[in-house]
Amino acid sequence: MKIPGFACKSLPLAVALVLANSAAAQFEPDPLGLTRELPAVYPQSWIIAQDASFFHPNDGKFIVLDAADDSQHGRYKGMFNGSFVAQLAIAESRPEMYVVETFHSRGHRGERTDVLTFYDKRSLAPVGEVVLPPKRALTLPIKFSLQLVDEERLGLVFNLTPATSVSVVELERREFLGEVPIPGCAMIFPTGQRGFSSLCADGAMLTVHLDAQGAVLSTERSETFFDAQADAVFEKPAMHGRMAHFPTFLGNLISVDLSGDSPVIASPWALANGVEGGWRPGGVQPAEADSAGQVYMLMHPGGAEGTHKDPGSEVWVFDPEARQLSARIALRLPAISIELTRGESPLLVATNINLNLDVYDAGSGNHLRTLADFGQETPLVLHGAR
Amino acid sequence: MRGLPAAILLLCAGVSLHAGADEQRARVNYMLNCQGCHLPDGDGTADRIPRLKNFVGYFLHSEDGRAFLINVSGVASSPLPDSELAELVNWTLLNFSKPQLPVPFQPYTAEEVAELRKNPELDPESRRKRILAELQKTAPQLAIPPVAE
Amino acid sequence: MNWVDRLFEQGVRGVAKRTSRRGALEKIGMMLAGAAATFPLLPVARSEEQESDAAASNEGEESGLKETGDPLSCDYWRYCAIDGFLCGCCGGSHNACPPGSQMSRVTWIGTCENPADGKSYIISYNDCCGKSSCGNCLCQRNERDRPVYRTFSANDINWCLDTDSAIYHCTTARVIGIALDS
Repeated sequence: MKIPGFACKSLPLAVALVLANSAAAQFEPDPLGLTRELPAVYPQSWIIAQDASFFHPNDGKFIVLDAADDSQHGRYKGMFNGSFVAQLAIAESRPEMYVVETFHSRGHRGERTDVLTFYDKRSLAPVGEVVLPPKRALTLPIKFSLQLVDEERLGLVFNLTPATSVSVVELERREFLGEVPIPGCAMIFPTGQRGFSSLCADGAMLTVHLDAQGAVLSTERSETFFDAQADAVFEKPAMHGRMAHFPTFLGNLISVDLSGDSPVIASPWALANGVEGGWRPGGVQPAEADSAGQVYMLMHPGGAEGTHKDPGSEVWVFDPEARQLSARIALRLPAISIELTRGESPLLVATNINLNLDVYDAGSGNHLRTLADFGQETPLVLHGAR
Repeated sequence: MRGLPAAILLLCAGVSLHAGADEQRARVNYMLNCQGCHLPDGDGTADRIPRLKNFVGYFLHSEDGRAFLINVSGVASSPLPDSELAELVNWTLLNFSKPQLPVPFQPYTAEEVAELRKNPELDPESRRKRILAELQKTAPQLAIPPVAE
Repeated sequence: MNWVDRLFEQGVRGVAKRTSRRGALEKIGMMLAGAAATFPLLPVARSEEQESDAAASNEGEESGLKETGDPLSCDYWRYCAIDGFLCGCCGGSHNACPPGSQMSRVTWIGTCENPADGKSYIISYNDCCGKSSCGNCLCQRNERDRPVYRTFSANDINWCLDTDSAIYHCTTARVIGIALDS
């Protein structure tokens, strides 16, 4: 029909223009290339699940989660990779994290290259790397094979060929400085300002102090204080600052003060003192501490030779100075690893035998939620935000 | 070892030890404490684990070398008591490296081992190289092959 | 029956039926956690005890070692300290590597008691390397396992240390001698 004042041909165009103009007021196309970023300082309720992807470990993952978030998908903040049983250390003084990992040039074969990869906490993107001697220890996830000392200026990597040593990396200049042999000893427990201690097969502790260039200043061996055959000390203590609380296979606790030049090794005491049932510590990461210095321990009953990696059905809470049991937390499912988030109201997060993460209020022991089905396979070790 | 009847595993290879030594016990202790790295024939691996076969006997040609064999952490930090450790080291020398030993061969005693193992070597690779370099100079008649890097 | 059996009986029955990835992961959780001593991973359960003189053989060789039990089950006597995938479920056997994988000579050594004769045998847990994780028959038992500072008694270590590739595929359990306490 003819509309006075309009040419028929231009009606559709006119209508289209009118429509377009009104739509444009409500719709802005999504820009290309939007990428989320995380805060430079992670909230205290965040944890990083170290997933070695045991069935295809070249594709290891570190998954960042908010353990306080009830939203199945909202709690998932991001992830970054770690190749072939990688280990993780998290800086506190800067928004950086370190992953030590192994690559083969043809995936499953070819030339081996070990690197320390630098990750930015905000972008979760790699921002640098240092190539290391290809001898880092290839083991199940364990925090003490990669540690930071000297106010986070030096990164220390535990090597095993099977001869053991420690590679030293300058983290600000991103430079490999050298290697320190630690024959017969293993793992890295930061000691003093710029040193580390290792546990030795003969039951002693070796302590090495470095100079600013990563060269050895001094090496000292302690008196033997345990028998690796009769009652081995776990090489995975609960750390609180420079206090290292080592559980033993038979269920004792040996606290070692690593704040000075030489370790101060306290006498052992029995964790299950007075409690019946043959309770012993066990798991992949069985011992952790909260910000207040309380020690949490995964415990299983009926302990015997060979049960030191069994899942724990309870977490026991200890005051290590008073040498007393403060609380027993019954777990809804047995767990193989625990972690405590920092701060005054810590969460106790436990990797359970279904390989999901149970979150408990550490004070009351109440189970709050389970973090499940977040793309994980074998989240064997957990790191609280720092 | 694969495929051998169990009985053969128990046979002695006729290695002569000093009085009181137990060949079978030494052999088992070698399996449990050394073989995992130094391998059943004492071959080691070229760049990582020192070779014992036709080699370890050279160390007894110097005092430092003799001490080194007990100072080295794999020996010093062994769970074995001193007497069994001495027996094991003596068996290892005779079983894997008899041609390289000095004559007469002076076996380690439990007392010697007890003393030496108190000082585990902190940098075994460097010391090993030093000892062998010294022996190559002072005892060229041994014709010690160059150490693999 | 220990507390692990009691607690997980339900779960295991469910797991055995399920073929889902979730079910497989629950098995993994229990295996990794060391409960494997009580749960064979395959439907061939403990009840099938077989006397076998040739149990240790490969390619028709007879070792002469008397053995019972199922070499494809986590609770087979040789696996008292195994940590990994059974090579027998991966195209190899308890003493042979699967095709194309390379046996590590460097290894860790344990001792296990043989129920067929009551003696303790020395077991060499050589890994097979150069291929990615086999993924079948994951077992973890820890008798006389010790922490990493006792390197030659530690099963948490990837022992593919003298092979061309460090990538871990599966684990064997070779009987190499008799322990002295027998």
